[in-house]
Amino acid sequence: MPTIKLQSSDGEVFPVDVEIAKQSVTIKTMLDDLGMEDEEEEIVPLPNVNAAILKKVIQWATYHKDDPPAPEDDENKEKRTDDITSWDADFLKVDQGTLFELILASNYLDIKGLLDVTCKTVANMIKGKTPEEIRKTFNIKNDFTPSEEEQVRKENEWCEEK
Amino acid sequence: MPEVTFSPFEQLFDRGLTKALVNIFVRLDPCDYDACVQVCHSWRAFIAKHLVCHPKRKWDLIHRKLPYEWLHTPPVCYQSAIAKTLAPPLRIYMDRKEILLTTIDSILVWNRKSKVFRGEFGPQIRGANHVMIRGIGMDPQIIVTIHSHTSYLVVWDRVNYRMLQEVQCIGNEGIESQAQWIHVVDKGVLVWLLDGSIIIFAIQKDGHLRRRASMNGHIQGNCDAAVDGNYLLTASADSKVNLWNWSQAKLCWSNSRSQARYKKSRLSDTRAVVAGSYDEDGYLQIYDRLTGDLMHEMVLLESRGVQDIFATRDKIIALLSIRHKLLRSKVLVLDANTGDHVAEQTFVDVIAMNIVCQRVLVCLNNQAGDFRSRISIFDTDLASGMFNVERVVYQYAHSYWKLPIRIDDSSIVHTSEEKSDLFIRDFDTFFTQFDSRSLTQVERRRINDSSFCFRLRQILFKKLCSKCTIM
Repeated sequence: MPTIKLQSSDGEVFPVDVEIAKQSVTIKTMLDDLGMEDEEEEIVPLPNVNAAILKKVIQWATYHKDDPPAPEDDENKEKRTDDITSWDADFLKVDQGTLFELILASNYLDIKGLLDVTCKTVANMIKGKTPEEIRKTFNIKNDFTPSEEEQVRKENEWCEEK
Repeated sequence: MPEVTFSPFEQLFDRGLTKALVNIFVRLDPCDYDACVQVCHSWRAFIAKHLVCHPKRKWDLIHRKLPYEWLHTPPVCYQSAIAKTLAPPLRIYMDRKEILLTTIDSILVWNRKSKVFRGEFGPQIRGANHVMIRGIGMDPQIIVTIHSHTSYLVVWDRVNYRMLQEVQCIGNEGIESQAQWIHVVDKGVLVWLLDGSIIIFAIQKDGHLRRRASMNGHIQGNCDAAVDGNYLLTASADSKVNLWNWSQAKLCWSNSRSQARYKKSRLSDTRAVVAGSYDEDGYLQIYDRLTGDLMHEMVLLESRGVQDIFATRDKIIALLSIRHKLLRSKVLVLDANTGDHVAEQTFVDVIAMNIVCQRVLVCLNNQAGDFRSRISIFDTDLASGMFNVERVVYQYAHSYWKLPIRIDDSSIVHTSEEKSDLFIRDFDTFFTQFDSRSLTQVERRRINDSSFCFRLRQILFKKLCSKCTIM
């Protein structure tokens, strides 16, 4: 099976099966456009992904290599968060920094499946929390003034559980 | 989990990763949204910019709000202004800014956001004492009204509702003619005259209309029209269906079916849909929007006419009156590509309908045992074709069986003849209350900077190209 070499931002090189690498639309487009498929020795630089994250991405892509292509986004389709497989859930038991790095990498490499599952994980971390709990979870500074905070709360009063 | 010293979300916001952020937020429930908009300015701005209008999120809100609040509390009534007029309310028009209610000879105006009654204005048309308002066109700057018994259309300034201009409609034969319908388009107004001419007016900077071009329309009978971007679809009782490029005043294609008396027309991204009747039978035709080829034709035998049609990207929804059954309506859902039947549902008497977030909202005139009618709204998931007829999401008893009602993706607005009041129910208070002008320059720039991914790819390609020799 033909392989290509992916080079992380910190210089580490990972040999990867072409079919696995092609789960990334960004890499697939590059290979198609530049006709690099047969150039086994060619190194593809990925300047926005470090070695640790690239390793995780390759691990995810290898496990999901036989998955059918992810369907096109339908704005009206129900967006669930409770359909993460146990393997993916275990795979994403990582610190927040790594999780968000994986979002950045999957967005950059255009791997829809990985982007979806990482976003679902973050959405699950938000669900059911109060604004204060969300701020604490993600270390976000509250930049509302007390009067702004009061106004925003009033606008959304109708939605509070009765 | 190790403690983080900075917010990882900052990376997504700072780099303008809109797609990833939408992917996260769109999965949340309405109450989670309401927690999220209270987290910080950047979250609030992002949700307002990218998710308030997201169909999935809007539908979540509507779905939650309708059964919880609407079914169990009386609707909020705004200003008994209609009672002061002698004429009964006829029709409701609305855009994001205002709600207009026409009576026979006057127009009442409410601010949509504050619900404050702004006032009433009545056309005093040159040379005509008893005119009826036939239609209204709403532009952000002006209102244009067309009337019976006169060939004049009137332009009103929306700041103070003073008359700006009276324009006499002269048809292509050089004879004055009454306007039958009006459509406001981008910086223009389209008017169909009784003599078959379609006149294109340009809206000038000062709000006045200037005749720009005209097209030869249909020759007789009623004509219905649908506008989408630069295109105008017209269908008439003269058996013709025409697609025009109004910006170029050019006919794109025309199709004719003998005996067809078209009554309704709609445009979707790829289809032109028309409906009408051959004598007693209703029918519906789906044309390819680009070529004008007839793709599907359905004769609706049990129908005595198509009251309304809607066209989404992949579905056609028709509202039919059922023959031999007084006050019975049927909503028919068809596949726009194959013409196949997807779903149908019979209702007592549908008086208003709209497609909101891929759902059919149907408003019924449902006379119960107390001889009072009820407005009942059901929803249908167009994706699955399932009508949820068990769940009435809104009820308001009244006895005037054809009261004006209007549903759009933000509100339901209706009147009652008893108190002569206007009733407004907003689906989404956040939508109407949020003002994007409150965003800072930095926040706006951050929101608009979604080209990050594209730039990265450019850099990557440059690097690759410098390493490769392209043959």
